[in-house]
Amino acid sequence: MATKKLLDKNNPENTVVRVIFRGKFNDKYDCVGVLVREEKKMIRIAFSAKDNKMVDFLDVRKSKIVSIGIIHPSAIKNL
Amino acid sequence: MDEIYHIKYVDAYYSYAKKLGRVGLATHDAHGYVKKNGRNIVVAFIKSKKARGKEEVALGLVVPDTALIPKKNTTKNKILEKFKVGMLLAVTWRDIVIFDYTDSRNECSIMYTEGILFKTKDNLIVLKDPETIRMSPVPVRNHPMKKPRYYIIPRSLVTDITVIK
Repeated sequence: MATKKLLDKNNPENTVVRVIFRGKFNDKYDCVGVLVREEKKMIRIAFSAKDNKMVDFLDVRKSKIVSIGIIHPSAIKNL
Repeated sequence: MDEIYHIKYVDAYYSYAKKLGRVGLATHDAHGYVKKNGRNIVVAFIKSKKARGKEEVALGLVVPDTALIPKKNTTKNKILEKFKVGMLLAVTWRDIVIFDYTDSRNECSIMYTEGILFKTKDNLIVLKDPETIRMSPVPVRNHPMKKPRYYIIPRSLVTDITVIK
């Protein structure tokens, strides 16, 4: 799936995205995280951080992405 | 498990350093789909979609509710007030867990640490020469395998303390 650029490096706020992608065996996955890198063929989603340094993340090939969308901050709850 | 959350929490850590410098608690944060399971917060980073709409957590985190910042963590845990530096203590505490589909989890780990009370701060305790085992889930095992010199545990994670010596 071709995706237009979602990451705005000038925006100091996190870009939280929901990504649905296909795995090795064509199975579907759904993830939520901060879009931290966006390249021609891949994106990097960060799930957790320690003192603002990324800890857990996933690189997803753009060709495997079924859908991707930015989550509006108002849709993100805090505990 | 469809609502998206951003959580901030504290975590325990250990050090192999001979001399412990300044200690503090880092702020951890995570985004994901959240489900509450009693006093545990289960955060799904990646869900796998199975047949007939069934979902499974492929990668996630379990956080004790008391680890959350700032809501729960502002309540001072008074459990430590009668213990003095130098005492050999046995501390039971709840630990954060990261898991994947090979070891799906709904509850945090229960840890047991024996060590000398080295330092206390408002939000943490430091145990020297600690020996830590994971009590739950089974199998019981050392954590970490190689004994560290110090274990720094947020007070909010501590559930029980007894004096050994």
